[in-house]
Amino acid sequence: MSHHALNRVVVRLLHDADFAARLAVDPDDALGGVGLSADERTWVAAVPSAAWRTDPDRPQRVLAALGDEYSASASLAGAHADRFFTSAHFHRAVQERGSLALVFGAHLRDDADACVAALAALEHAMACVRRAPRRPPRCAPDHLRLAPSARVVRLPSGTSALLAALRAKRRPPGIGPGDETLLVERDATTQGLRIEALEPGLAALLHRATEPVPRKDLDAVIRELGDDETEADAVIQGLIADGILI
Amino acid sequence: MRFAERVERLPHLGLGVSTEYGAGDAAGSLDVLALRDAHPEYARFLEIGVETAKGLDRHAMAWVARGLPTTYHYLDVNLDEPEDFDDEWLEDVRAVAATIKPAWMCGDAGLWHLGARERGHMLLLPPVLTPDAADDMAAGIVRLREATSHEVLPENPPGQVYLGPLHLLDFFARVAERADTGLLLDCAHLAMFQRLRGHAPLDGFDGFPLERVVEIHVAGGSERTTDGFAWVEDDHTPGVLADTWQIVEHVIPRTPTLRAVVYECERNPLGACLDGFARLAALLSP
Repeated sequence: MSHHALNRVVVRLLHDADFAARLAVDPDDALGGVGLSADERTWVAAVPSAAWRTDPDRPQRVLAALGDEYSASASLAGAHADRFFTSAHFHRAVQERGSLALVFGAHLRDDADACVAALAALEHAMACVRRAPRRPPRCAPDHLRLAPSARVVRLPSGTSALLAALRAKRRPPGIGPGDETLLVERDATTQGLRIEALEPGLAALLHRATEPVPRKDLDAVIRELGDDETEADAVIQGLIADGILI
Repeated sequence: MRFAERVERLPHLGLGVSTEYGAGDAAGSLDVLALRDAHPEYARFLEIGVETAKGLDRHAMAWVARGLPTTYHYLDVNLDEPEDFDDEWLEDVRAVAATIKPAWMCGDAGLWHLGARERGHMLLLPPVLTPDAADDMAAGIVRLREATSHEVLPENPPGQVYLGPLHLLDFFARVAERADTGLLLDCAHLAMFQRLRGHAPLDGFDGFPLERVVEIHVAGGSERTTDGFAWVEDDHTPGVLADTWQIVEHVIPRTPTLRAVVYECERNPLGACLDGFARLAALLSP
């Protein structure tokens, strides 16, 4: 399968001029760690370096497509966003067939600005939910879990308000201190995304269901919060009806 | 049933045009239905470029609503990656196919996206030209053909960098043999490859199964130079390069199974494309 590895090296060379320059100077160093045969290394090293630059706008086009999903965090990140193609996140994702959209979020979360990092975490959760399968596999009998089309994220308080302000082009508020827990959810009919703040009890319940869990364990979480068995059943039935638990 | 028998069931579409989502809305682009009305002999069918995440645009839907012939050109599958054939994508492909009722499916057999399928990447790189890559490609073609019950014609993709020891035509000869499939030969993409490798336009045809070519593409390109590196931009302008015409004129009389020719000029006004259509129509006339 090394032709896949070689093609992925080509992708990296087309997006990262620094990587292409390193290849020209020292191919063994630039291609270290990639499972290529000696012939494959020779082929890629023999390409005229100008061939990697025939479409200089390509990285910006990809960045613009990624920015559609990270409009808030990318707009605040500035130059850090532009450095994505030189990042380890990018190179690892391409070489390992990862999702560029998801690792772009990881790259933005590395930003030194806490607002950028928080927004990136929220927009990353939205990107994950957007990509959730339409028909996820069911759990074992008597087990439940959070649907892939829903995600619980704990962020500095004010992150959702910051996102809303940036989208509305209002003056952005600050974030923190303290935390807020948000549910990011994809509507099964419209495929649109919703973000809502979670009360601590519901947040604890959904957090417990991040992995498949016996239903009785979720009942126990609700009872620990002070509700009786009937109320626990109603809460869980409601979450199942809403498609949040599956 | 072997390809040699299956091909007999494929319709003769003749000369047609291509489109993809949004192409018809760009300023100065070809209005495919207007072309059909004014010159039906140049637009006997429409090759619809499909990214399932986007679906079909109003131009494609208007063509389909008139019951006119189509082919389905995929824009979102890396044929040599088994992970790309997920159930949801295949379901979407079948839904689009059920709508447009294509004569067959076809498209560039290359790398359309990095990693998992994503919107907006539209990368399109050629495969590495090795026997292993050809065999993986063939497996994907069989998989898609069986999953959709449509013929799947792999197309040689464009590129500015081709890696691997095989000639492009030998690579696709192996793909065709291993997948027992027909082929879509893009003459403009082949001309690009021949220039990059220092070949003459007709080099490499000796081992290529022209009897498997069902469709050909013809398009213009622009000669570019980047820091001394000469290459051709596959920009689908009306100006078809002389190398490409040489390939087209070689191939058409030698392909007994040829069913369709697409002049890819979708982003140009009709008047700029008529000479190209006329030349192709003359080549196809008995």
